[in-house]
Amino acid sequence: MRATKQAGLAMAVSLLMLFAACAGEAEPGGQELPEAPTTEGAEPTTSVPASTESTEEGVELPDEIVIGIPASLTGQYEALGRQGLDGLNMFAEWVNNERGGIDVGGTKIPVRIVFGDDRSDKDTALRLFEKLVLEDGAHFMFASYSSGLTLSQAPLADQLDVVSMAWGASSDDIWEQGFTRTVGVYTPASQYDHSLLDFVTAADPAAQTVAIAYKDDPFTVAEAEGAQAKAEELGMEVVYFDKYPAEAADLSPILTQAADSDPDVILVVAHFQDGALAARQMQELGIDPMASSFGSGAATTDWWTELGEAAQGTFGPAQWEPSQTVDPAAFDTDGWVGPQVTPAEFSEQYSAEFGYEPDYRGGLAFHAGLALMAAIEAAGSVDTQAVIDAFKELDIQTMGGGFRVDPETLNQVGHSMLTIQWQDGEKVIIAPAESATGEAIYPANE
Amino acid sequence: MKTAPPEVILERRDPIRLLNMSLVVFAVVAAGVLALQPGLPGASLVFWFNLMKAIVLAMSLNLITGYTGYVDFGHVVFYGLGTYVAGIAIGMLGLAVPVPLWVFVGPLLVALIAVLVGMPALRLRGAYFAIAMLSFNAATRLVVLNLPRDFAGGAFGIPTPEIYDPRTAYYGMVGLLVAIILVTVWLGGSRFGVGLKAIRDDEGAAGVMGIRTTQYKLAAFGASAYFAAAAGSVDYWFVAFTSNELVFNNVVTVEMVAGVFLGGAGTVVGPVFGAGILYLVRDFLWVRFPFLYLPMFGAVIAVVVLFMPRGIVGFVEDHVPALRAKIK
Amino acid sequence: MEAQILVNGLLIGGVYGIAALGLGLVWGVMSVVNVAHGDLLIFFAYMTWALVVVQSLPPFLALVLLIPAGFIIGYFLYHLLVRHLIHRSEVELMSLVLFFGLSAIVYGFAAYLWGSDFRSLPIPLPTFQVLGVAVPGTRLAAFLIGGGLVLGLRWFFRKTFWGKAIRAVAQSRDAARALGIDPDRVSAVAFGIALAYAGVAGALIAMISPLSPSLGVAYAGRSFAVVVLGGLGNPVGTLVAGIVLGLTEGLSSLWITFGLSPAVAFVLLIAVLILRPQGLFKPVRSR
Repeated sequence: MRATKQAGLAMAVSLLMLFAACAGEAEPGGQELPEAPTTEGAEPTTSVPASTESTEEGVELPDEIVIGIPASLTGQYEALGRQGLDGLNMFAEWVNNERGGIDVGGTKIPVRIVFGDDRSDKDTALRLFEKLVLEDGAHFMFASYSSGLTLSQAPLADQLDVVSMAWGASSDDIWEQGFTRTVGVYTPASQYDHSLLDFVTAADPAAQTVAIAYKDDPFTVAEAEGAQAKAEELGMEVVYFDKYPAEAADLSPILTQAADSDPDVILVVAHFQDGALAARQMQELGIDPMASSFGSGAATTDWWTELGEAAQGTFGPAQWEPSQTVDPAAFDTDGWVGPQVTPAEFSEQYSAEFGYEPDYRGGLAFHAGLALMAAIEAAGSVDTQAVIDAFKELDIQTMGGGFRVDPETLNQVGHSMLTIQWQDGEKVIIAPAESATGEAIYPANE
Repeated sequence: MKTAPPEVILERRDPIRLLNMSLVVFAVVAAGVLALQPGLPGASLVFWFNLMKAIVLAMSLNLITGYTGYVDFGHVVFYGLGTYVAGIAIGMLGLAVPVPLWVFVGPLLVALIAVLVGMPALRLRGAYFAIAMLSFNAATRLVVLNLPRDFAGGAFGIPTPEIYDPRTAYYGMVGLLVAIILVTVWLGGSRFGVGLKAIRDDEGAAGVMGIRTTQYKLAAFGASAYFAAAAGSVDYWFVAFTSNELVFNNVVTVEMVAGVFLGGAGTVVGPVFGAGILYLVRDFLWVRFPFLYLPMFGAVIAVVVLFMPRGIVGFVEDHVPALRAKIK
Repeated sequence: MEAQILVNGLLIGGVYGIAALGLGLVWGVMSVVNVAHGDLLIFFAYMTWALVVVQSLPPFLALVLLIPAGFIIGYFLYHLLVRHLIHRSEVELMSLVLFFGLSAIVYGFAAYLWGSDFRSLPIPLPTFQVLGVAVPGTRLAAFLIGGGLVLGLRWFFRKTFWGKAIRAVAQSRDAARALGIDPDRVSAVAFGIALAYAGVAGALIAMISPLSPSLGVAYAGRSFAVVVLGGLGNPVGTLVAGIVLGLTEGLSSLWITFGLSPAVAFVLLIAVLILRPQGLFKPVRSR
């Protein structure tokens, strides 16, 4: 008897929960929720809030352009996700205060940011992406930080027919799947270490060997394999190539073996905390090659403040740097978009507002906002397909660097990668030569 | 929960019972369809899909943990393997099996793995079983990660955008939820279910009474793994992607365990309540307090554990006499 | 190179051992499974960082301060939360859920208070060379402190009144009560000791590794493995199991691939469980 009653109760509960959830989610004003677009025939339309105004062309335009970002505020990407949110907020502030909004076919429309915490978790990231679009009415999206989360959101972006700016992902395979709404911003991961290897072979023809130790995660595997291919292309020998798992608490076994292969260059292809661990342990173990690089974490400001001496002379790849120089003549060219500031000036404003200096995550979130603005203005519309078509034509420069996508895949091809080196607390750009802000200390072990 | 009284067994073909079952099926299907009608507030595909997934996963854990008392700290491994069984067959090997069929057939392989693992593992008791399964999950994740990349995708995982069809996959999850509710209801009144509960109360005594404890436990474990894996396969269908770092996440196990015990282990409604409420509370807090929802979520769980020792079902039985009469 | 890897494994293994000790102690004494253990370790590690970097204390003084701090936190945590569970029949399971909640609270506050950037102490001690093998001074100190405290706990269990009382309570709360021991007081002290050890372990982790809130996961997983291998609450067994784990991880990088090293450790654990379900060493409640 009990089981049958329980079954009845189960039914009641599921209905109750259904209604409770509905009640909890009802937006004041009862926003109309668009059905997911069906495939052929129907012209995809962006979700348009209830009150709209018309322009001369008679196209319905929203009162405001809502941009959503599932920011990783907790979990493994927390520090990095926060910068995306701050950079994007700064973009919205700039576009609203300085320009009165995004200029869509002559009408200035202000920008509003909606966000949530994706917990660096797949289910939450998907749910949040959908919620920001369907419930909060986001017209455009920034994807979650990291290649894995961006990739899992890519089919949803296609299905919801919303532009997804991949401001925090660079794994090449995202753009090999035929998605049509995910727009690349970063230089692809496979090219992260190219300028460092170019620099080393040019500066020191005697440098023949490189050891690569990498974290087994999609972004770092792509970076490591790109570095391996580049080294071989340059005629260097890859004498050690092995990976470590994400849950490693001690990297000394792999570092000891990498050192044992007696390389001229050691590349630790790491994410963040693991890179810092590797740098510390190499110092402790006295492993000191001609050059050592620690992946994208080495470009963060914390790298020096937290590691101090262990950071001296370390190299790292960076998408963008506050110290990066910009020729002021570029400000007045046609391709320049956004505030006419150098990265240093941008970084100063950012630090004043958020209390910490941005690295490339914060800088390029702002840059991605500018690129989105440029595409909307070029399209003269907030229609997703029109904006995507505009992206395919876009070729611009901002304080964040170049932006141009491959029209076939939407992967980024216009942005170039920097290599930095820490010298007595200063992050010095040492490659490529045209962007360098100082001389490299090489060999770094002298 | 005490062992179900014997008269339950006699009621197996009770017409009221059949009616109740069909009502459940009807309610779940109706709720599933209603939830997706455009125009209704909260018509979020991912929200409802994940809610049902959380309930199915908690109910799958309940099959082994609630009925036999074996707490599986690594249950997410079957969910993860479920996504991979679908991903490898469809995305990598390109098997010519219809996706909607394979997401329910493929998980049988995972059930087989569970039975093989269960043979030694289910000989362990209590926390040792839990920790063995925790380790099994960790080891499996790493083994899958280190399989050849053109077979299991390595760190990149397996994206298969061409099968992306979340609307149909959504109904797959509705079907799975109906199936596991029916199995659990059947279990509550069957000889098999009574045998499992006897194992939970005293495994030695159950053996003496002539219950074939090993076979019973393995069957429950296999069924439990099957449903977790099927949830994984359907989830793979829903997102068209699986990746190592995303699907063997211990947090998912902990949420399953928390859901089962918050609701009431070994009952039909318990895991539905527990997992559902946990999901809604998390969703509610997380939307409104993005920076502090985690401590608040933790506090909610702590309060429930401290003040509702037997889960929500037990609390209702103890404190609402009118309902108690109905439940008993 | 093999010698270097063995030394590395030995030294990190000592830290694995002491990190797991607190988990095994409460599990063995009161059947409470503290799944928040990893988060507590990292919480204490962040406290070390705050004491050293913000308050400019020497790292080893910070470590000493964390012993009473951990004890007090543990003592009150027992009275506030655990005491209400301890009499229930399914303590292990309910404590699991309770501490899952606590884990979310601790993790959330750590991320909220200290942000999510990684934090790192200056390396306190230099490295020296012994027969061509680099021995990092900090790791050696961590190993020695950990080992010393483990032996101290063994002495405490065998020779002191409170130690014997804790063992009595671990065997049977009712029998202990019959002997005039208040199981709640004794358990609170045991919980305090467990968190004092977690405090020390957190300080040692902060000294040897940069911190991020997510690091708790890495230590929690290993702690469970070490606790089971070493016998619940058995001090020496836990230390030995930690060292076995450290060595296994190092050697698997030589023989297979470092990418699989944690799997090797877990397979070892499963094998031990099946062949010797009671662990390699006796738990605290036996004898």
